[in-house]
Order: sequence, then C-alpha cells, then structure tokens
Amino acid sequence: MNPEIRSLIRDSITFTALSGLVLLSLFLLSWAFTSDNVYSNSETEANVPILKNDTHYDVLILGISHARIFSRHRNHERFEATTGKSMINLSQGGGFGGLDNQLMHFKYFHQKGNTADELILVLSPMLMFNRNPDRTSVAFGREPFDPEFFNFVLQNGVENKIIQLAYYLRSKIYWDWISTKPFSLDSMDKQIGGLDTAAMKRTMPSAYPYGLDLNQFEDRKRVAEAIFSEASDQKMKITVVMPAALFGKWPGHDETITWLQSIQATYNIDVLDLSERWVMRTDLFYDHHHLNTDGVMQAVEVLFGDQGSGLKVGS
Amino acid sequence: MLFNTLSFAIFLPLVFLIYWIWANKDIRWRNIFIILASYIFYGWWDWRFLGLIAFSSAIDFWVGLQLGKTDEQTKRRWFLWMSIIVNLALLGFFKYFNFFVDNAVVLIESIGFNAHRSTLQIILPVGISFYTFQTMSYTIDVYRRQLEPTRDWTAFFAFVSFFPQLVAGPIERARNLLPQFYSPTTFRGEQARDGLRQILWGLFKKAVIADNCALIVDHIFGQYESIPAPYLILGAVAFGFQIYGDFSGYSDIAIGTARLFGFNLMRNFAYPYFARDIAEFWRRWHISLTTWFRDYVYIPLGGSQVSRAVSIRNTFIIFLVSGFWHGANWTFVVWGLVHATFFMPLLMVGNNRRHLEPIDPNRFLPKASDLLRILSTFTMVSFAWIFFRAADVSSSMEYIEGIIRWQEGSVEYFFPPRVFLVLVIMIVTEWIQRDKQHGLDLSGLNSRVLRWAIYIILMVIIAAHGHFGSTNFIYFAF
Repeated sequence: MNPEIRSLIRDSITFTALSGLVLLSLFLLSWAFTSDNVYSNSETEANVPILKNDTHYDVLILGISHARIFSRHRNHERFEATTGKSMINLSQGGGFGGLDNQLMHFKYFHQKGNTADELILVLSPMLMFNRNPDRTSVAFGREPFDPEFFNFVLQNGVENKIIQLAYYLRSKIYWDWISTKPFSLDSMDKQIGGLDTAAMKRTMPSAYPYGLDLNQFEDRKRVAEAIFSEASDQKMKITVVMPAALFGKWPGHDETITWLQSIQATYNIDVLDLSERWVMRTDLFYDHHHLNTDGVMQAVEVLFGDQGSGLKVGS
Repeated sequence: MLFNTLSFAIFLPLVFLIYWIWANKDIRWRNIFIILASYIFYGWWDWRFLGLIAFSSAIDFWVGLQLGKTDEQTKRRWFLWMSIIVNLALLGFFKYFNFFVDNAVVLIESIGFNAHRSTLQIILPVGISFYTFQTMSYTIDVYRRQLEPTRDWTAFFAFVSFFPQLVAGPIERARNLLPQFYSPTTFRGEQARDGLRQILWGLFKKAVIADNCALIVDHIFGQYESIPAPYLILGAVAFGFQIYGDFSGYSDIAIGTARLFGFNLMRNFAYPYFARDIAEFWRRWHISLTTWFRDYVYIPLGGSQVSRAVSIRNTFIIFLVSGFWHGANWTFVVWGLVHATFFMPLLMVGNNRRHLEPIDPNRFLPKASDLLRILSTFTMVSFAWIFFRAADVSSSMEYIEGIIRWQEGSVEYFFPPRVFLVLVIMIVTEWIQRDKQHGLDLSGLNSRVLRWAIYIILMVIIAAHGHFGSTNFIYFAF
C-alpha cells in the first residue's frame, strides 16, 4: 500500500481514538462531578436517581407533568403526610416521555425488586393521540448515568433507542446537566390570572400534532393496556385519573373515557374523571392545566378521601 | 445513503480502501468501480430509481456520440433538443406533474368550468434536479463544440453518477469533471488530508448548525400564527443558518469526499453571508447552479450585452427559473422574484459587479461600512428565506404580517445558549478563513499540535451536539 495512504489511515485512526478519549474523559469527569447529587422525588424530574432496590410503596404514580405535580414543590411530602401512604412518582414532565417511557420505567421499577400496592395512572388525553414524546431523542437527558439503566433501555427501549441512548450519554457532558442540582420550591402558590386563549392556541398543535388520529389512538391503547397488564401481573390496584384543567376537557377526552369503560372490567380499573371538576377555578391552577399546591391537595383529597363523590366513571 | 449516518461512515472507508488498493490500477476498472459504488450509494435510498439515472446517462451518452458523428447543423440541433426534452420531461414528470395539474385545475375552475382533479402519487427521485442538469451540460457543451464527445461509457456513467455529488451537487460541468475520469488518479496525501478537513467542517455545519437550527425553525414556522414578532424574526434568521449549514455542509462533505478519491469538484459556496450586496451574494451562494443558469440560459438569452429592458427581462427569467428549480411550489417562484427585485436596482445603476474583490483583506474586523453592507444584505436574504421556508405563499404573507404587526411577548421555546455558541464559532471561523476554500483549511497553520487540537475540539462538538441519521438534507428534495 502507498505509504501516504497508510499514513492517512494511521492518522485517521489516531484522530478517532483521541477524540473518543477526550469524550470519554469529559464523560467520566461529569460523572464524578455529578455523582454526589442525591435527589428526592420532590427535587427532580427524573427517575433513575430516586429508584432504590427492593423497596415497597403503597402508591405508584405514572403520567406526564399532570402526574409529576403530585411530587413537585414538596407536594410529595404533603401527599404522604395527608394520606399516610408511601408514594413513588415515576412520571416525567416537560415532554420527556409518553406512555412507552412510562411503561419502561414501570418495568424497571419492578426489575429492581421494588413493589407497590396501587398504581395511579394520570392519563392525559393528549398521550393517547401522540406517540412523539416517546420518540424524542432527549427522553433520558435528565437521568444520571447508570450502566444498569443503560442496559435496560438497550433491551427494552422503543425503536429509536440507539439515538436516545446516544443522547443519554452525550447529555452528561452538557453544562446544563453538570450544573443541575436538586431543586424544589417549598410550595407552588402561583395562581393563573384567567384563561388566555392565545396561549391555549399555542399549546394545542404541539400537544396534538396529528389531531385526533385514530391510528395513533389504537397504538397508544396498546401501550396503555401493557401498563395495566404489568400492574395486574403485580397484583396492583389500578386507578386511572383524567387530569384536571382550567378549561375542562382536553380534546380526545370522550374517546379515552369510552375506551377505558370498555376495558374497565378486564383489568379491574377505577376511573376517576377530574377534568371538569375545577373548571375556571383560577385559584387552583398555576397555568392552564397544572394544579398549584392547593389544587394538588384537593385532588389528593378527592382521590383518597372522597372517591364516591360522583366523579368515578362507572362501567 | 446520507452523509450523516453510520452507513456512510462504514461505506466511505470501505470504498476508499478498495479504490486505492485494487480498483485504481486500471482506468476502466476504476470507473466501473465508481459506478458500482455510486449506484449502491444511491440505491440505499431507493434502488428502483437507479434505472432513471442509467437511462438519463445512456440517452446523453448516445446523443453525445451522434453529435460527434455529424456536422450537419439541423441534425445536431435535433439531437440537442432530444437530450433537453428527455431530461426536462423526466424532471417535469417526477417533480412538477402534480404542481401543473393542481394549477391547471385551479385555472380551469376559476373561469367557470368543472375540472376533474387527477394527481398521481409520484415519489420525487432524490437528486434528479442535479444529475439531469449535469448531463444536460454535457450535451450542450458538445453541441457548442466546447467539449469533445466521449466514447468511453464508463467515464460518462461515472461522471453522471459520481456518488459524492450525485444527489445534491455541486452540479458539475462536464468540461471540469468528465476529463478527470479519462486519466489515472494518483493519491496525493495533502489533497486527501484537506478533503478530510473539509468533510469535518461540512459535518459540523450540517449536524451541529443546521440540525440544531432546524429544531427552532420547525417550532417557529409550525406555529407562526401565535408566535410574537421577535421570535418570527429569529425563525427567519435561524432558517438562514439552517439552510446554509445544511447545503454548504453537504457541499463541503461532497467536495472533501471527492478529494479523497483524487477528484476535484467545483466550489459551491464562498461564504455567502459575508456578501456586501445581493449580486455578490449570488456569486457566493450555490455557485454551481447560478453559473449553470448563467452559462446555459442567461448568456444564450443575450445576457447583459443587450438593451437595458431585455437585460432586466433576462434577469427576472433567471431568478424565476432558479426559484422554480428548487421545487414545485409557488413559494420558490416568489422567493426568486423577491431576489430579482432586490437585484434589479443594482443592475439598473450598473452596480451589480461592484464587489468582486475579497472582503476587507488583511483586516481582522470588517470596516464599519462593509459591516453595514453585510448586515443589510443578510437582512434582505433572511426576509426572502421566509418565502422559501413557508408551506405556501399565504402562510409566508401571514408570517411577514406577524412581524409587521409587532406584538411582543415570550414563548416557552427559546434560543438555547449552545446553539448560539456554535453559530458564533461558525461565523467567526468562516470570517477568519474567508480567503480560504473552506472553514477548516488550516494549511497556513504550522503547529501540528494546534491543528490537531482544533480538529479534536470540532469532533467533540460534533459528537456532543450533532444530530445524526434522523435528519435529511434539505436540498435532497430539490
């Protein structure tokens, strides 16, 4: 072989190796720097840092931000104090995961030897019509690096898991990850001023990029049923909560309720519809569809103190 | 196959090794190997369209042979028109059929008749606009006797399908590229190394600049009705960087890849956002297309050696055709028209060739007057990009109305600091390197350690912040 070609190949290999080495060093540095961050369920939007091994909880919550608010702003501690039940919240806000992601974290929770008596799935209707949140490459950007979790995703992730895992690794050298510390407000007391239709108009297209597409709905039903099946296998009580919103029902609400009623008996599901419970109660929301601390505590009261209040959807 | 995928990362070294170890020993076998590699590269996307490239190549090869056999002008003209009609018919069918049907229906209905809308599900073959223009340049040059017709089918087929530039250019002139397939290629270490540097720079512009900007652009253009005015401006500017990073990044990778195999492709971008007026912008943007239109449309129409009125007409034609070349949508035509409107005052006062000299040579910072010119040109170009990016003309008008109404406000989505940082890196680097062929041409830097440090930092940025595999190149659709 031409010595110049040999030299080029040698330099290319050296360059690739050196670049890899620099990346690995940055990654290890970041890992060392952030490994002392110990999070509680109130102080993170992620799941890996709060998952222990072989631990039992009374309640396990799944969902997106509408479920995460049960832990944010120290609501987690309030929940446990009010109900007297221990709780683990595996939901993820900020568009970081949909039903597939929830199912995967749920399975990972069990793989680590953990158990829970009751599953509360906060089923935001948008999740039934949009699988994009599960395909986002940034799905694990907020999880600290954990080889066990990496391996679990590799075996159980969605079809673009390689891209997600690549981002999972890459995100650990980003400054916004390195500088992330445990965080929490003591409570969320903000109240929304009123209904902002322009803001609502902005939200809907990104929440429903395919509209009320039936193919997406069918696909999401399959994943939701896999969650119920996993819970049934673990002999958990299942409650599905339709989240509250200032404006009432989300698009696709009725379709979701009808479907839930059709499978209610199969999985022995309780369905609790909070969607129109606090319409235009500006004192209970900090934005259009997220309850503030007062709102969350009212929801907890309905969930555990007042379940026969007529909200429960019959089969 | 996309340049920013794992498949290409495996394909390129493999083809490189086979090429230099075995295939390059004989010119004919080397060309056949290039054809084979190029067809695999193209077929990775959709093998069914390989027949189209082969057909287009065969027709023009045959037309070239016929042109070489006769001196009779009428016959020669017939053969030329045959080539042009076949190529434009392929382009017209695959790219513009539904556009013409849709518009014909609208026209017929507007004068009160009922029309039956019957469009076809036509897949646009990737790169068809590029390779048809490339083959047409061959027959036109042979017809004009500026090029000898080739009798070597391997050279001609390799020229048409040469994988680095097959799907998104540069649109090579037969006069430049075809003769390179006649002679043996010798490996030149420095040329190959510079090719690798250009690939690295192209990858940075595509995976880091373009694809990060794309996230912002898609968000803003997707919801422009409810986005405050400052963010609409941001969207247009971000799209300017997205399309520049995407297309010039592709060109850099293409040119760099060709250099690895000992071939020289023409330059396609010369730092267009540093242009001091629109005329200079068009001398620096998509050079292979603008010079194609200049050589094969503008000059045959009389170019500038005609009356002022005809010259203005010719300029409008060039911009409209150039816009329409980009796609079957009125948005591209309006985009061309907007650029023609910006260009016209320069033409009318005879200032369209004012900035032919390098930009502020031997200065680190631009002169204030030049900076103002650069910024005003960039503003005009960014304005025109709104038409290019919008889904249709009415959306682009609404987008512009949104800016004019100027409603302030904030949106949840913001410009991530790291995107801003990589943009600054690109702009500063290209400004410093503006007299070089590409942003990473470090031939003047003697320190090997410093050069390697720059390469590795760039590679780390690409690995950490780049997007791979999931994003197409915008110009594949053209």
